[in-house]
Amino acid sequence: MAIVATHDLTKIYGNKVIAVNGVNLTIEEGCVFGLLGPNGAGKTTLLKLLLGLQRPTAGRAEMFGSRVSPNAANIRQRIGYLPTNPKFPPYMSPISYLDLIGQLFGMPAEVRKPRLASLIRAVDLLSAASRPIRSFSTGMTTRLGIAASLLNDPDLLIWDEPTAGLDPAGRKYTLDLIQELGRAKTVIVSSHILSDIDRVCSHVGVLHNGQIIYSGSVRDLKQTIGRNHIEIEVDARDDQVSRFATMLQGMPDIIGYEIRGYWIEIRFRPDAALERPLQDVLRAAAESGAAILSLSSTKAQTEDAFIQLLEADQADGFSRAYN
Amino acid sequence: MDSLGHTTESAEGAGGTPALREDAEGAGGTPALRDGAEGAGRTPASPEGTERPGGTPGSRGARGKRDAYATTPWRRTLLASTALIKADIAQLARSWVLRGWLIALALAEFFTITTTVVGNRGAAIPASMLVTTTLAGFLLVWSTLIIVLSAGSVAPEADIISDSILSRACTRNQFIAAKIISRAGVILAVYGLAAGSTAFVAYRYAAADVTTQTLITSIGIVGLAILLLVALGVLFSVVFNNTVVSVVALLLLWYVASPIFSFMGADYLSPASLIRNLPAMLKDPQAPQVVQCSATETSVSVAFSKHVDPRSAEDPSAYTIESPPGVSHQAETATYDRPKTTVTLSGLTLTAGEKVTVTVRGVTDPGGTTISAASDTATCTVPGGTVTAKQDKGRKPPADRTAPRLTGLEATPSSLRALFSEPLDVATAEDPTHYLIENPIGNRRTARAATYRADTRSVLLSGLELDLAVPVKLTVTEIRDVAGNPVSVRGNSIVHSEVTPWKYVLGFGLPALCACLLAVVWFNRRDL
Repeated sequence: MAIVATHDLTKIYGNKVIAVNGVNLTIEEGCVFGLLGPNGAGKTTLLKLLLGLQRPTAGRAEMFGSRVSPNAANIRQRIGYLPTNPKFPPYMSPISYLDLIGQLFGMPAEVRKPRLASLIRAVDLLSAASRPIRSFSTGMTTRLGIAASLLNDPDLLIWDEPTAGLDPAGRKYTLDLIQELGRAKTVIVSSHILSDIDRVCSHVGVLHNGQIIYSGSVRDLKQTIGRNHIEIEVDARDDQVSRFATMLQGMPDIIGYEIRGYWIEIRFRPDAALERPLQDVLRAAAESGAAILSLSSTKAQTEDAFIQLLEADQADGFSRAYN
Repeated sequence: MDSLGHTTESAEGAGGTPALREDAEGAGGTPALRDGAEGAGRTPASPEGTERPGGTPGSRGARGKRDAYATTPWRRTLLASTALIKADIAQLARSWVLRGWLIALALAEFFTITTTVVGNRGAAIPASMLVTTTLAGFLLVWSTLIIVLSAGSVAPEADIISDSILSRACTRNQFIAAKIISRAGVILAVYGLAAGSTAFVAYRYAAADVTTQTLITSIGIVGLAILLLVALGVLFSVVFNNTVVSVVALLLLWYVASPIFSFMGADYLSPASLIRNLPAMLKDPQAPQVVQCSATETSVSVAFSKHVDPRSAEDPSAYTIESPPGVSHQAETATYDRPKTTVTLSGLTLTAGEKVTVTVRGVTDPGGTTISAASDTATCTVPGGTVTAKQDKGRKPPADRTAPRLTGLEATPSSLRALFSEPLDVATAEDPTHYLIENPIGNRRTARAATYRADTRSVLLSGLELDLAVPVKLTVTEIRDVAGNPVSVRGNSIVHSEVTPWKYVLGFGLPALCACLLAVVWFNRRDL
């Protein structure tokens, strides 16, 4: 069952800025969907269109099978939204704010009060529960936003760049939480940070210049580039690296390599079985005196796939309009 | 960084998802969801994510919520709307503009009321003037703060309401309606408190030239003007999405509104016109009348229909006393009895059995309205004791003892049609001199002809030049019904005004309603 479906969704601001351009997107129930795109790609606009906070210039958005509109409170009743760098009434405390939105969700006091208390405890805001929100740091505000998005026990969570402005610890906390929540709910997470999406999402939509240029599973995205692709981090002197590179040149299964300081990116022939060439590479490293510190493929695959998609989108150029 | 890092640290120590995992281990599930779910009597979300309800996780949650949340859409709407209104009132209560206004208003009211109460010991201030001061204050001075409070209702918090309110289960209609209700409610409550307390003091301590009806009507009309101002403020705030622009635009509209209202043919709706008309609206429209007199050999008592100004009533020269006709007497003293609305003229030497005619000139009510020329004379006799004689006493009472009354007045720029309660004697009804026409009140006009129509029991007064922008007052004298009863003193005058309270209700109420609807429509079309 599709929880989100958009049809030629378009948003143009004042006949000046095309923020979202004919987006057709379907998000199935139960997945953790990452909305990926560079800054200014239209991610926040797309999410606001889905929530009915903005009106589409053309096309339509449907959530839970119903058309979204500014007054579609019954749809938002089932959604938990966490905006980027959320802004809350500065004079309110977490208790009074969560109490207010609990009432907006139609929760009676006997349901609302215990619920907000447990959420405040869960996001570790107990000590600040009666403090005005204006005195909160970015991390505390984000945690309050997380609590607010969970108050109505939503079927769908929409979190817009939830790790923005957080330090590494806060970021880890948030990503862990998304993974946890993703087991019970449908989650849409927008981000421009590839590793975040790669870590928590099962599906991804790549938004570029207001258009969805890819939508599918993360695994399929990785498969859009050549699979035989690794990165090696070495601890070696320059002459050892050069010797290692010379030895790589002589290997028949390697179609190319690139040296970036202590990182060496190696591309094998797509049809080659990797066992043998990898053994050759490791042996060459040992012979050249370069100690291998790490060997990875995943990060580079996602990153490359993303960059490849963006490059392909820009290269398609004019013909894109007729697809 | 805040305590987020600390939380993570402890969570990692617990070996799981931070905070939530910490709770989860104690509760055996996803705590944030689970705690609330248990509290609500719902099935908690799957603790480990393995127990998804038949591939449709949303459906079970939705069913649970329907059970636990407000049961009907109406109750849910009511709960949400009440919460929004309460939240906005709480926000207003923190506003320094409102706090400053309340302090300034309290001081101004205290000063006005104290002055009135203290001043009452000397020369009483007319109640109409006192109430006008307060009401005009709202239209002229406090309106600036009302504009700031209402025009700053939406614009300054556009980002906040998008993130924190409208992204939840709240419709825009609900939100904007709550804004209008809370802002109007608070401002009108402040206005009601100030106007009510002033009205009470005016009624109790000031010179009573107002009636309960004129007080309620005037306070209501100004209240409607304030309601219009609030509605326009919220509308401007929504349309311009900038507090400064909204405030400046509304200030310009409000204080330079006269040409606009004149252009629309509704000059009376401009704040300046309203302030000018307030005293007339507040004043009791009935001029004082001489109701009856009674006499002894040394004094004459004159009863008035309402309170009169003691300064004018206690001047003996205001009374002309003739007894017998043609022989004048001058009273030495005139003493006003406020509770009985009676003046006793003393120091007279009258003869028992003689007729006494008292004519009153220049006596005014506390608001300055001069005694009605149509009812400024009374006649009585002086036998040994006090004899009460009504006007025209001595005429044999007819079988029909019901006095005719004026029941209505219709006006055109050149004529008036007076409607009576019963058929009239044609000879008295068609004498134009029996009709005292004032337009505006205090300025006499004369009709060229009076034509009686028996079928409608009305008299058409023609040949007039009337200004219908101001009230027209008609007072009838010497007119009798077919049985010879003179027109009732209590029903011999009537005021016609083109600008009725209903016109104000429509003039302020309808635009206020339109502004509210427009604010809702515009807000619905806005991107947040």
